Amino acid sequence: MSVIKIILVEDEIPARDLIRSYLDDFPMIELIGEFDNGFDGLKAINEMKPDAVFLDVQMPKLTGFELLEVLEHDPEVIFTTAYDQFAIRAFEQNAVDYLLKPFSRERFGEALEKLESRIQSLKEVTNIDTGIERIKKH
Amino acid sequence: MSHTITGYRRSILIYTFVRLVISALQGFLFWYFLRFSLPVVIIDPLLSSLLFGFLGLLAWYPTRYIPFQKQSPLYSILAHVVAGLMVLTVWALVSVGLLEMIFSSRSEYMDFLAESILWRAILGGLVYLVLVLIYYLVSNSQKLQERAQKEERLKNLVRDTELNLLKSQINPHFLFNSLNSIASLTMSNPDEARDMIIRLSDFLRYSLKHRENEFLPLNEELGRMKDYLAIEKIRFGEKLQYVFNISAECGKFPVPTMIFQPLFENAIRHSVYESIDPVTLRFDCIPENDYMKTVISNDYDPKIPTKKGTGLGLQNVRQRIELAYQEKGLVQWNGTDGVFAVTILFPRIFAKL
Repeated sequence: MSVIKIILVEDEIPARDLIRSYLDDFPMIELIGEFDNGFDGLKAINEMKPDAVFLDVQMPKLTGFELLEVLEHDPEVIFTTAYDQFAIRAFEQNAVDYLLKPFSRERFGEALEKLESRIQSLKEVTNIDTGIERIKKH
Repeated sequence: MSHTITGYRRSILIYTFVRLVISALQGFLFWYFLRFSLPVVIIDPLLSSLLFGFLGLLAWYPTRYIPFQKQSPLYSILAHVVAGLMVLTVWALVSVGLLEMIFSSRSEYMDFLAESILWRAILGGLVYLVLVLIYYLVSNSQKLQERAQKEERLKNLVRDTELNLLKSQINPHFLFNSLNSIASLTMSNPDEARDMIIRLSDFLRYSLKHRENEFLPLNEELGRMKDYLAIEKIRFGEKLQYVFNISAECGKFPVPTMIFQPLFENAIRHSVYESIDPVTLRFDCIPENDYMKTVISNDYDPKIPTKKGTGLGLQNVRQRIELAYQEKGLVQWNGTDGVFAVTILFPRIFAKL
């Protein structure tokens, strides 16, 4: 299975440290960028096209939800926030998971498992789609 | 409710004075028109008037215990008539009896006394009526006064409750984010994690403990606010700078507890939470005339539209200060040139309380 590339958008230093430290247990996840505000995060996601994003909600310049609205690239999203009232909205945006701060290493691991299986199934769907396309062409 | 007359020193004096004036008047009439001798002129009015004065005081009790509005008027009137007749009978019998005993040798006075009983009774009845009316008026105004006092007490109670409600509440997200930071620091920097837990505990204990409308020295209040800022600094690092400039006179000045917390929270929310660039929070305190002036200011980006919920914290602080000091205009705020400042004037008179 190939490496999953992720970007972290989070305005608090210790919160970024925590996620980076949790990620040590998951070698197939590659952190390709960290940003402390929604605006820089948006630019980076559009340019670097990661497979997934860890997204805080309340951030300077752009909130997590505002960022998703204007995003051109469409990565998988795991929300990380201290606010529980955005959960429904997050799943309406088809989020993979919603991590309430502070969260444990185990809970973080579950989120990454969901992410892997989501990406895996999407690939299979894409493979089936391309298979069907190929059959149609013949 | 105490007796309208005997309950108050001043009323007793006035009542006695009025009775003496009436006796003097009566004595003068006896002397001028009826040409009685001096002992009669002095003793008859004094005896009957003082005795009536004592019995008249008893009329207060039916007034007190037969409330006019609650019973039917006929019942009250009847009760008063019965009570009045009893008082008058006792008064007439005792006073005339005593006078007869004292002056039994003076026959012309004895004739007069026998004739005058009816007149005395009628006059006494009128005075009794006046007394009852006065009792009703006074007890009514006493009731009004008591009601006003009760209302005042109620108002104070409402005010205290309001103050407690206005007491700032710690934003739970601040708490959760701080705990998340601690979770992170336990791995990267356990010493700092411990330090942050202690600061957070001090801050929480302070905010929980001071639920009543207490006053504490400014330095103590600011100590807890510095804990709060130190926690935020761990979260946001170099992005948050703060400067405290407190004149020596300010340190011990009493301020309402947690009064600055919503202001610092606001300052943080509109600066650090919204900005990518470093921001500076300032706290200044200087004495100014009859006030201690404190100013909390923060950098902010005027281009960012203010989010909903803004202003509520400021309004709360303004209300709390106005309720605590009963003076308007003590809390002012304005935003110019990218600096938002909240000024509070604490009346210095309160420092002596």
